[in-house]
Amino acid sequence: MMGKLVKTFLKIFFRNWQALFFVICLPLGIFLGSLLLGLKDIVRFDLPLPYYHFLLTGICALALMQTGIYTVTYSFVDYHRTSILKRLAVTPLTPGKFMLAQVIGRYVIALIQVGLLVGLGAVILKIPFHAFLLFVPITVFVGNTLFLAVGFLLASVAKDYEQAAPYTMITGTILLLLGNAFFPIKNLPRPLLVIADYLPLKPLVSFFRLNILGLNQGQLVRDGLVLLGWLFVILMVARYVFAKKLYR
Amino acid sequence: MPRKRKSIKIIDVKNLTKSYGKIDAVKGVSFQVAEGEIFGLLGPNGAGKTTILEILEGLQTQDRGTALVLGLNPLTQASLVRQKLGIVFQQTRFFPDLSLLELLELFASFYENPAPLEQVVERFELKNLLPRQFSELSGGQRQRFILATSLLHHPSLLFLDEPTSGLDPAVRQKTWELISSLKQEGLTILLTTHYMEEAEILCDRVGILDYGKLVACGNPIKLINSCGVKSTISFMSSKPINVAKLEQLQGMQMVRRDRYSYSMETEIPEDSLRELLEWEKNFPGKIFNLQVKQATLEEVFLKLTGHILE
Repeated sequence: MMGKLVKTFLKIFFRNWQALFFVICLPLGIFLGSLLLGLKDIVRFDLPLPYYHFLLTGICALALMQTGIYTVTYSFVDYHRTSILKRLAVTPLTPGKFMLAQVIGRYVIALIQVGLLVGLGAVILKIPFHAFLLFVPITVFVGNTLFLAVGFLLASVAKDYEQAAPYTMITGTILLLLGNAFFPIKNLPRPLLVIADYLPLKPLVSFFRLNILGLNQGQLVRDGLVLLGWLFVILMVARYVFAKKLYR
Repeated sequence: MPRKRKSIKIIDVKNLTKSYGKIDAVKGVSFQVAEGEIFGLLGPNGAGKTTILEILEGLQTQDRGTALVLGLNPLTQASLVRQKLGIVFQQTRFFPDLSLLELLELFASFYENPAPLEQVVERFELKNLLPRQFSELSGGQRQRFILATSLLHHPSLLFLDEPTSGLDPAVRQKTWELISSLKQEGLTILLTTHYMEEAEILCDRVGILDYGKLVACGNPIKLINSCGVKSTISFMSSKPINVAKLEQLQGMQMVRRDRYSYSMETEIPEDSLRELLEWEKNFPGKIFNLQVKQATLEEVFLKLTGHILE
């Protein structure tokens, strides 16, 4: 059952040109666009690494966040609205198995997303391969599962697109601004920095920088605990709310 | 020869109650459905039919009362119940971008013992439609596919929620034939409908719901007869007839005459008609344009609730 379901999710995804564009092409496009625009010469930051290296690793984490928050939320609001989930809920397929199949299917997609970005970085930026690169799939798994759970949660509390729009916008914007992904956040006011440390995107970005660039920013234990804490809590809450509110 | 019905309770509902805030959707409803039976829940929109069905499907929890499906609790024993349950919703959609074949394979993978897909495809005449998507099908084709996904695991019980709602008359007729054939195979069916004609044609027994209450339950014909709702027999005659003679026929009441037209009310139309035809044999004239307007469940509903079915 699980294999068939994962294959089905992948088929649905790869046959949906819009989803393919937003999930695969857009992150690559943003990165290539910033290269073409010469963003590093327009926005000057005092960084311990080249700006495009900083940006590439940030976009890897951002891509996972965008997929979870936007793509998952809207597609599940739609599945709920059209009673597709209700039809599945009356079969022996449990909400837990459904979520697990989604996690596996979307993990494959996330690996492709990040793989293409890392490949592009290797070709264009000549980023040297690093031993930590082997840990990229683990970081992708944690980030993908975490933001997928956020997407499930938002879809479960939003009744329709109208409600989903502000939820996704607020969540996405806060994470983006405090994520240390597009620009360094070290000059933000102290309270915002503390908040940023305990939101999930910044630690995820840090792990991508460690895995891809070998850059240790010195707070990996805290970042790891923050990520795993978010993963555990969000997954539990999302599993409960999804079963109670959406998968019926 | 009709199948002898066993008295095994496939559905057992006792004192079921469900409220949404201040709205009482279901008020103390009790009924049973026996094996091999088609039981219809009838009532207007908002009568509580779908809520009862969703409780039986394990999609909703009741506030009070018990609901057993195949002897199991649909909430706490959901995985067991769902292996044996086929369900057709009022409106069914499937994942987009998948062909019918892919959808059938997906649904078959959910069950322990699905039927071979070739059998399902042949039974529901889907062979030429397999490469197509659900959104590309006509109303009748959709209905056949929905039934195929609901029956591919040989369920013991089928729930049909307004199965012909929104379908054109020809497709409705086809769907009725399909449901009747399922009954012939011994499948137990619980259906909800607001079409009284559908209930009269398909159901062995019906439960009439109004504002969440079960106002009547039983065989459609017996319900019509027991409620004192009268049928009308009318005809024309080539020679005048003494009205008093007609009133002596079995069950005849309220005989009206208008020149050569006669109209009579009866609670037992079959018996009255038989006697009328017998009487005609010795009548020197001829009766013609004979019509029987049978009382319907619609009239039973009006009589029981005081309002028409909308």
